[in-house]
Amino acid sequence: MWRRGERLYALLVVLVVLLEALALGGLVVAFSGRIFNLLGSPVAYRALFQALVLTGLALTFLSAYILLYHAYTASKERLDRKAYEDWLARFTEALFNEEPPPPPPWPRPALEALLNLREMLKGEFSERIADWLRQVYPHWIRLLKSRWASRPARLEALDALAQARLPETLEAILPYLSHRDPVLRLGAARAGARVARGEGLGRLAAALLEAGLPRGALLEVLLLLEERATPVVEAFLSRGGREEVWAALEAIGRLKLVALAERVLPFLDHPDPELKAAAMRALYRMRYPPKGYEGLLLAALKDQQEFLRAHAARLMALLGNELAQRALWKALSDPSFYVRRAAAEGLLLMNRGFLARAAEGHPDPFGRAMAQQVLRVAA
Amino acid sequence: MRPVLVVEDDVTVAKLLQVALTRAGYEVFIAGDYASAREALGKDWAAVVLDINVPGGSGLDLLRYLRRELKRNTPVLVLSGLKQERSVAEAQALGVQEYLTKPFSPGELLKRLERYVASR
Amino acid sequence: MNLLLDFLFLYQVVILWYFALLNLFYALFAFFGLGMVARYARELSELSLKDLLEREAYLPVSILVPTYNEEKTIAHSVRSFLSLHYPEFEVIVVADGPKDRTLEVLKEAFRLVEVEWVYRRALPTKPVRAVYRSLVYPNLIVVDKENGGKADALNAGLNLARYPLFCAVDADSLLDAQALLRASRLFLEDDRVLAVGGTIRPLNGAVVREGVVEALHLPRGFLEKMQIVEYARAFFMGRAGWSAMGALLIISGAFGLFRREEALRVGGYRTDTVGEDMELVVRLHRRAREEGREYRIVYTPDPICYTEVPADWATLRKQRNRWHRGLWEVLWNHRVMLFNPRYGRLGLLAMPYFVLFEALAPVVEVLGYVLFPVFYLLGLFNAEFAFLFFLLAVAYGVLLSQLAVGMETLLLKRYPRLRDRLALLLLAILEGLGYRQILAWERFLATFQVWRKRGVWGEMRRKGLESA
Repeated sequence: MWRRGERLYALLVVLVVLLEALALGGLVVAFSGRIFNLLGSPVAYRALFQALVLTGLALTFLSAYILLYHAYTASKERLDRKAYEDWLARFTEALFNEEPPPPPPWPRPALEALLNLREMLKGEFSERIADWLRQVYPHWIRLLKSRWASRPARLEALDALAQARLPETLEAILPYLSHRDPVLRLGAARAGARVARGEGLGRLAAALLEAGLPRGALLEVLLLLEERATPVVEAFLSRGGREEVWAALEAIGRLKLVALAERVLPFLDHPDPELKAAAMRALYRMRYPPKGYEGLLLAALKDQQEFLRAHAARLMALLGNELAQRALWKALSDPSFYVRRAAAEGLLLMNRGFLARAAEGHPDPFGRAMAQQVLRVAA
Repeated sequence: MRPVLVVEDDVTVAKLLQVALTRAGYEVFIAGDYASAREALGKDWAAVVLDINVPGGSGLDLLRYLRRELKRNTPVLVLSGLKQERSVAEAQALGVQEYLTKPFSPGELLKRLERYVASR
Repeated sequence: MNLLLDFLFLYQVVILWYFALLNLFYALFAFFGLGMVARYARELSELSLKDLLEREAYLPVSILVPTYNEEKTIAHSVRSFLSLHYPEFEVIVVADGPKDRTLEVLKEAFRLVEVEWVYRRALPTKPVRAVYRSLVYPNLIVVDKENGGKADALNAGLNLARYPLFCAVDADSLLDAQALLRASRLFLEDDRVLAVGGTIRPLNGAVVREGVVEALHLPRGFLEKMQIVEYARAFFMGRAGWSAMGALLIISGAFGLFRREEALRVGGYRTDTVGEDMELVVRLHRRAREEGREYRIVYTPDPICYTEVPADWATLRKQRNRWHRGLWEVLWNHRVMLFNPRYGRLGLLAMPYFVLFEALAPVVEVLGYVLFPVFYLLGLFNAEFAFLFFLLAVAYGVLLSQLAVGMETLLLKRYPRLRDRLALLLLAILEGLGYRQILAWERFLATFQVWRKRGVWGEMRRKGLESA
């Protein structure tokens, strides 16, 4: 979307703005002095003239720089793109011919090509690329360990390691999870999620528990772990704070970690409504009927909070028994639109005929209308 | 010569597919966006390898166009980064032979492709 | 006579300090805004966006498209919305009682069937005549309602929306395929975010193919070219600056992403103002501050929305007139925030700035020009002096515009031709010599029309998109 802003450009802008501020400041002082007859007319005049000249100079330099920068970046990009395609072709050929790649050092476009290949491939080919990357990854590790690297450079290095997915690089990534900069923590979390495997997952979990990331970010991380998520999710459930537990519950549902469903059930009784809702969502996503927790669900259907009632209605449908049917029939007369809709959709899941009866004969007119609508949409 | 249409905007994936398919004896044509893909679908293909997120439209729209308007049953293999059930279900409903996700294995893709092309 | 001289003297002082403060502010914005954009440019992780797209970690979005008489372009626009790269979203087109064939065009193009739809009427609107769904696109809903204005149409759409986020767009907005992704990720990463605004760029002159901007070329029209510079400045230095300072008051109606629950809580859009987009944002700010909640309303530069800008003076002036009236209406409605420390930087910085330097600026400027001959007649005029001063004011404006053009050069999708770059830099000069003055006059008039023309829109002559 954006080019990497050149440091020089930024410096120029700051310089220009400062220059102008000074010129105008001087101007205002001089003019004010003039108006109140504290300064002579020539002084004010000179200030005006100087401000004008400075501005003119600033304009000229700025325009010239912009034009030069534009021309330079346009040609550089053309060359980079060509270089990328060339390196991509060479690496791909080497890959398919089962030959070694052209030897390093590899310029930036080559590294980009390698990382993208690693990203897009799996299996044997991917492992071969990983071996090639092992020749160059120390460069990124050095950047991460360096004291002088800029934030963008560190982020780039983290992204590169994230794409490279070499388990041995986890060591360099984990310290960043306790960095004071939240942007770097997030970048490291994502990189760690892609890189960690086996016993590295335990270390990642421990670091994440201390990182203090927002729950959306934690969820992203868990989803990035894909089938490796279970140890980290378990760690979050046992030892995590509110944010971590929420993320864990959400992830269990979205990743369909049915093996952990038993650990989700107790959260149906949790005092925190957000966590309760997350547990309900997770169970619903996994289509895991909450057997033994009917009482809690019925209580939830009467909860003050509308969103809890709606989630409970949806989950109730999975029980598929008389109790659920009756509860959902009642829920069709709930004052909330969302609860009525969840109840109708739940009934549809359980027993279409029963929903049809609701559409005809439910005492509540809104409930009837909702049942009719859900039936129509399903058709 | 068996012509295969590859609808893919990512340079890396397109290159991988081109090399893999060419070595396996196919004639490869690459369309990098919706408009050119739609145009290309008019011709006769032994198979289509389709990405879902291409500039200008959805690969699923292209699939819809191929199956419902052109009424062809050319074997289609979807190769997409999207792992959501929704996308898979939609594609299956429109009649794809395979739904592969990225990252992918070229060898695996070729094996599956062979199966469908051979049976035609 | 003495009184007059005193007044003129006072006026000179006021004008001088006004000029100084105004430009100090501009410099501040330039500084903060450019800093924010440049840092963003270097730190946005494309990889993380890709991950977001491919996994389930997104928030579904309802795109609300209010439309009136747009039969020529509506099918094209809706199709481009439907092909956005986003895992889960719905498009709700609200036809606000169009007098032309807009609805018929939609019915044909998307195979609409009328449905009896039950939904929660959380916001009051003009009556909805019918709700349609598409046989081809399950995530498209079309609403036919009685005419009630853009805000009313948006409220009707909000009533039907089912997702936690909604995106208000103009029917002629062309969203970059990833715009939704780039904007919505902020909501995921931070629970406190209530609203996000992106960058709006003129579409005129661009080569568009199947709803994708393939190449950016400078349009032929002088006015259109001018607006390219104007928009660059307004966003990269205006909005970016305010957002960096935590006091963003405006999110453009052409593209803005909001949390649905929050918008409903403050009562949706107000239908009695032409500045409904700004009005909603200000109200969101107020409510959150009054409740003492932590929240964020931000502008991020990377989600891009292209929109067609007026190509003729008449439409442009009407548009600016409407914008300025909207500004006054919103500022007046929320005047309680002015200099009120309860509203933090908004009350102490943003609101006063908008009153003094945005709303009143054209008045000051026009008065300035009008008083030139007065000064001359009174012999208080030093022609050379005045000329140099005027030149400086223009030059400073040009500097800011050129900084904005420079910012645009950093975009990957920029105007690629070098001669276009030069043209933009030169246009920045022309902006201060005529273009701005004419618009200042229009905004000056608008200031005095606010009472008369409350809530009145104009019509725009649609030019149609240039395509390859």
